[in-house]
Amino acid sequence: MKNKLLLLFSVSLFIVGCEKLFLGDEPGDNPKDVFNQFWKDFDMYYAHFQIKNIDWDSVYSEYNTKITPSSTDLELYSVLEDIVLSLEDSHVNLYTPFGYASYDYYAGSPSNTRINLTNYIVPGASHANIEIMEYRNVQDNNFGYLLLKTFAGLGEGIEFHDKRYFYIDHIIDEFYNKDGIIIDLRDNGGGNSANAEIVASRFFDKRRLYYKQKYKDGPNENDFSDWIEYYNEPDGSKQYHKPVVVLTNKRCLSTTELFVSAMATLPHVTIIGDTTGGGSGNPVFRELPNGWSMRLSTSYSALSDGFIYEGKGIPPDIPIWISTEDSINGRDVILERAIEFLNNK
Amino acid sequence: MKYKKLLVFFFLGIAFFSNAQNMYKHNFTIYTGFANHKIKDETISPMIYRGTAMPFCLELNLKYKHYIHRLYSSFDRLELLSDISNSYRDNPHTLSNINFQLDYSIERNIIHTSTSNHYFGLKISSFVNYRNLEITKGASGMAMTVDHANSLSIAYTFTYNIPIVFDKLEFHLSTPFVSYILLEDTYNANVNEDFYNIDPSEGVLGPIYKGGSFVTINKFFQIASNVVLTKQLNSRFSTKLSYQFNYYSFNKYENLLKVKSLNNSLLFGITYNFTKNEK
Repeated sequence: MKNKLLLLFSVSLFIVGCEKLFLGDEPGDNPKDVFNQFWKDFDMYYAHFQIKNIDWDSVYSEYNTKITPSSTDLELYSVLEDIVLSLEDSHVNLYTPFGYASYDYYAGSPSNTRINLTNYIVPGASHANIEIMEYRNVQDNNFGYLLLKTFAGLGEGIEFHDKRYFYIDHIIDEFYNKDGIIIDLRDNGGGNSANAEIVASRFFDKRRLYYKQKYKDGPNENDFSDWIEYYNEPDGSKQYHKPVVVLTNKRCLSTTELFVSAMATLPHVTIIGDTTGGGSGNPVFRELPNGWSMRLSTSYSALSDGFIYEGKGIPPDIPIWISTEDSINGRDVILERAIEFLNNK
Repeated sequence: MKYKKLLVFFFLGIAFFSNAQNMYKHNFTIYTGFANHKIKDETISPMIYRGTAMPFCLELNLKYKHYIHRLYSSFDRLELLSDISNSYRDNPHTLSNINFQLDYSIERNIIHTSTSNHYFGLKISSFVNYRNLEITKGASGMAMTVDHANSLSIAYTFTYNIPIVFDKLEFHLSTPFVSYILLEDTYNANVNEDFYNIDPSEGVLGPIYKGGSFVTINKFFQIASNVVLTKQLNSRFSTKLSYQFNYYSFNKYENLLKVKSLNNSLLFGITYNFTKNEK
């Protein structure tokens, strides 16, 4: 019995003792430790210091003295919020009990959103996937109108994509004999890139490079992977190759911009509206030792021609804004321009 | 046709059991107990996540005069927690974890004495460590990662007859020298500079397997050991007390995003001996 107890005691000691040896230390949770962990995580994993000309060491110097181990959580939040906003990155967020710190990438821009849609579109019936996409006919024209509200939605099990997006095949069937399609992406803030690829592939004519991405893959500021190329190709039972107009505004971000970059490679597609939001960060969630959470960008992307749109957005082929006067008069001049464009094709 | 298949199975069975008569010793063990998992996965958190599960393990030992074949599998599922106590909007900071392991080893008796044996050989092992950390409420706040490796290891076993309290002591040690490692990501720079872009329309598992790479000990380090004490109950059954240690580490990227997993298990097993053992 004595031997057994000795054995169990030895095993327990070993279990407790080897954690530090094998796994290393953990950061503390006082405000100073949290600040240091926040700064260190960005220093190691954040991908936009170079392209945004940010001197991260100087950020540390500037804010380090403002936080001590006895600082309050509110003081800590105030400092971290300042840093988050200074990065001007739509994919950098901080989640705390005091609030959600996030850079407002469309602040100050005209909304350029949909106005009085029923003036232009024939009202239609609801369908099962109406929360992600709607399709209607354009009044007095043989054009289809496809509103893609979001690309959000995860796959089941080990699938990446949300099966609801295969509803696009039904819509392509319905629109196949139309003279043109207007795809309205305005206010679509992104989601899952696999869903965007499904929808875009129904407009592709052949395999095409549509964007490139560099990942932060080392601890140094300039440690990046080579350009990684992404392709899309025709998929689904039918593809639509007649004129297509894609409507964009500043709120089109992230995955929606990948969709725009895919459609922009196609010769029968024209982008009309405002420049997109400019967020390509492939953000990851991380947590801080005090239980707060954050997201940060781990990559940046470029269009197929090499244009890095992070922080700049993807410019449209035909830029047009809805003025205050248009807005007051209930005119969606972006949609009007799209209809006019298709009529002139 | 059915009868033909039955006859084939019958003769195969006869052949197997005839051979079994000549086997030196073999046995089958079912284990359960406590598995203490600790994970530090810098891809999702700087914190160490800890938890204890009740694993279910099966082991088949085929012992010949000079060789031991060992087939071992274990499974457990648990939730791990860190030292984070502060929560925001009831954020759980809970790490769901599923572990599966399958090993096969063949070892030859190299040194034999009246009370001890030393075996050396090779082990083929495969493991999956799935983790999903719920950072903020909702699917978008999940951080999911999977470690998976198929390895070829050097294996060593030492057995010693101890006629005090227990009847036998076994010590197993193995470490992989080459592994085929898969990562849940689209870029596996830690193993090489190749990139594999998963095409969702082709499914997921196939492309993920295609995207793996062979690595050696400098890229993926693992050590597994097991101390087993056996107490024979009668000629057919024995009990086993097993302490298992398993540690692995790798970097997702070169010098970035370390993943370290430490597992200590204390297991109790019931063994059925196919051939009668002398008490």
